[in-house]
Parts: sequence; C-alpha cells; structure tokens
Amino acid sequence: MPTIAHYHRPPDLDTAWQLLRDAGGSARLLAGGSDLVLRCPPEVDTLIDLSAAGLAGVTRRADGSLTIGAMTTFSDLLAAPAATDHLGGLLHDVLADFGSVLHRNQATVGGHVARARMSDLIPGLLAADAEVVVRTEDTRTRPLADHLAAPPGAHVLTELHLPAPPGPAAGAFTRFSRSAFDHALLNVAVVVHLDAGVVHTARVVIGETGVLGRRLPDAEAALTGKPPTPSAIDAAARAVVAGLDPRQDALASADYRRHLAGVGTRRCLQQVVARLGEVA
Amino acid sequence: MRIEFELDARSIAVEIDPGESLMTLLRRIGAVSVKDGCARGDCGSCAVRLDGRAVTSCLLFAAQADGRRVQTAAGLADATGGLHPLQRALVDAGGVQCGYCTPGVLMAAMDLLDHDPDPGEQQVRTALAGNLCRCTGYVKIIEGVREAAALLREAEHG
Repeated sequence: MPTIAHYHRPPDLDTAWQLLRDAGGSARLLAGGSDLVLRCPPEVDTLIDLSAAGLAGVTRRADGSLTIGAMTTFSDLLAAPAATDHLGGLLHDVLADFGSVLHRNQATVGGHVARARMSDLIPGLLAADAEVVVRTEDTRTRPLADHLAAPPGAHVLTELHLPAPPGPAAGAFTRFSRSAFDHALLNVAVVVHLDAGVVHTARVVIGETGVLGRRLPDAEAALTGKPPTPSAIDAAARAVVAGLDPRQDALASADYRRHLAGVGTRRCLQQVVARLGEVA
Repeated sequence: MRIEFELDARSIAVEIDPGESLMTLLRRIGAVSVKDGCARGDCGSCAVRLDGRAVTSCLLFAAQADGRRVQTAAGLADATGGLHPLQRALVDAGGVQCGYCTPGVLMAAMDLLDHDPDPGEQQVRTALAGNLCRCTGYVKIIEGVREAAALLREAEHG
C-alpha cells in the first residue's frame, strides 16, 4: 500500500497547479487512480485529486474540432457521439474494447496519456494530430508528439484538442493481442484526408514498437498524392513492414510484429476507404 | 484523514489511511460482500457502484469516495432481506454457484440495466467482460441478467 501523508482535492485548476508546484517531486496528480493505486512510486507522499477541478467533458466546436477534458472517463468518451463520430469512428475503434466497463468507468483520458506507457489510445490520438493543453506557470498548447518527447517537468495536463480535418477525412484503428485485456502486441492507427479524390495527408502510426507510437513517413508518402486504391494501400502496407524496427520479447518476435503491422495497416486503410465512401 | 460517504443509503464517517484502497476500507468496516480477489483490477469481484457507475474498488483510493455515494451488492435486497429482482433472476437461472464473483457481477449488471433496460446477449457480455467467473461458464449469468431486465421492465410498466 502506498504511504501517503497528504491528500488534496483542489476545487479548481489554479489551486491544483499551485499544490503540485509547491510539493516538488513528492506529489502526484490523481486522475482516475487505477494505475496509481498499484504503482505509486515510494517517494510520493502527496496526492492531488483532480476530480473536483472541472476538467471533465467532451465538446465539439463549430469548426468541427474536438476538445476532451483530461478527467473525462473512457465510458463518458465512448458515450459522446462528438468523440466517436470524429474522423469516421477512429476513437470508437480504440475505445470499444478498451479494458472492461469497470475500467472504462474509472480510467480517464488525461490520466492515461500522462501515464504514457503501453497504450492503444496514444497512437489513435497521434494519427488524429492531437494537441495537449498543459498548465504550468502559464498555459501552453503543443502537439501530443512533442509533449511525449518533452523532458519531464511539473505540469497539469488539462485537455486534448483534436483539430478539424481540412476536408473529407476518416481514420481507423486496430490492435493485436492475445486476449482483449492484454496489452497489444502491436497496434495501428491511420488517418487519411482527401482532396478531390486524392490523398492530401496520411498519418500512419504504429504503437508498441518500443515507443508509444511512431509515424511511418514512407508509408504516408506511398499514399499521398494518389487516390487510395488497393495498390496504394498495398504499397503503404509494404512500406510499413520495410520501415518498422519492432521490439522482440517473450510474446512475439520482431518478424511477427512486422507482419502484424503490415496486416493492420492494410485493414485500417481498407476501413478508412469504406468510411470515406460514407463521408463523400 | 477523515472521510464521509454514503454506503448503501447509510452515512459513514470514518478515519482512513490516505494510501489504502476503497476495497480495503469497505472490507475493514464490514462491507464484506466486496470480495478481495486479485486486488489488481483483473477479476471484478470487488466491484461497487460509485455515484452509480460500476468500478473495481481495489483500484480506487478510499479517499476518492469522500462525499460520494457507494453501493454494494449487500444494499440490493430490501429491508426484510427479500432479494432484488436481479438477484432472484440470477439464482433462478443458475447463475450463482460458488458465489464469489456474484457481488461484482451484480454491480456491473446493475450499471448496465440502468443504462440499457433491454440489453441483448452481446451487450450483457460486454458489460460483464471485467467480471471473472470460474464456475458457471457465463451462459447462465447472461440469461439471468436478461431475465432480470425483463422482470424490471415489467415492474416498471405494470
């Protein structure tokens, strides 16, 4: 059991930030709690519970962009059409099999992103070009990829922002695991934007390859500037297999993960094309 | 620290260790329908409802329940011990064998029935995916939950 001396539930974000800053390294922010209960580092003696700080909720702006409060639970996200309709259902793909209802009722989007370990959501968010809003001494917005790569420092992750696609766009996600609750051996998230029937932008993200989510530029280039035909999809899938350097562990060889990445990319792109057909 | 919360319609005020889990606290104060199965969120036998939503109490700090409403399987029966329709249906369907998973299954199923009064088999399976049962093979539990849904709809509409 973690040895906790101080437990705070600040009523707003400013107070939460001040408590975190003043506690130095001995404090952790508490979101849903499901990870921290099991893995609270020994140096932590202070918990700052964000549940009363007003950080939950899902909003679709008039421009079609999506804002997700950090304390939004996965259940509430899955129940928000604004989120599950975004990019043709990308987040629905991610969330529908995300743990069990018991987990989804408790775990939060912000807690999950801040935890930044094995993740199905982070590749989906990277494919959706998500930005995070972070409160420190000031408030800053930065791409999720930059946030994940930034040196550690005290901050409160307050919300995620998914920009509106510039035109017809759709995404898809798939994962491979031994059972539904296991961490994925590998996952794939794809988003494609079309302009006059031609791929304007493609983001192909592979997760669990040793990093949380990695874009595959060669696969994206194989799609860009052409219609998303079966041969373009095939070229993208082959570029993923060629460009990936996956990890090898007791569960799967690197070769097998490379194979999965190709299969997953093909499936996701086929799904994206089907969804783009519905959009057009 | 001291917290106050509602436990099965009773007001509780109790001194807690801020590092202890809600499951540990509930069992310590006698709410032993909450089972200590895996204590890592895998088995669902410690499930309770927190402000209506079913969660694994082993993965919550007790302090997170401060000011909130906690419901356990022990609160389902009426004052005279008469079983709730969901409990009755689960027993009648043969969905209770050793009984260890039952309190958690009841909490997950109550959460489902609150949101979906007429769930199909797939909806029940999805809702109970976090509750492990090593006796029944799940089929009878699923039948029991769907029968309970029918009973509750009947009671609602007369």
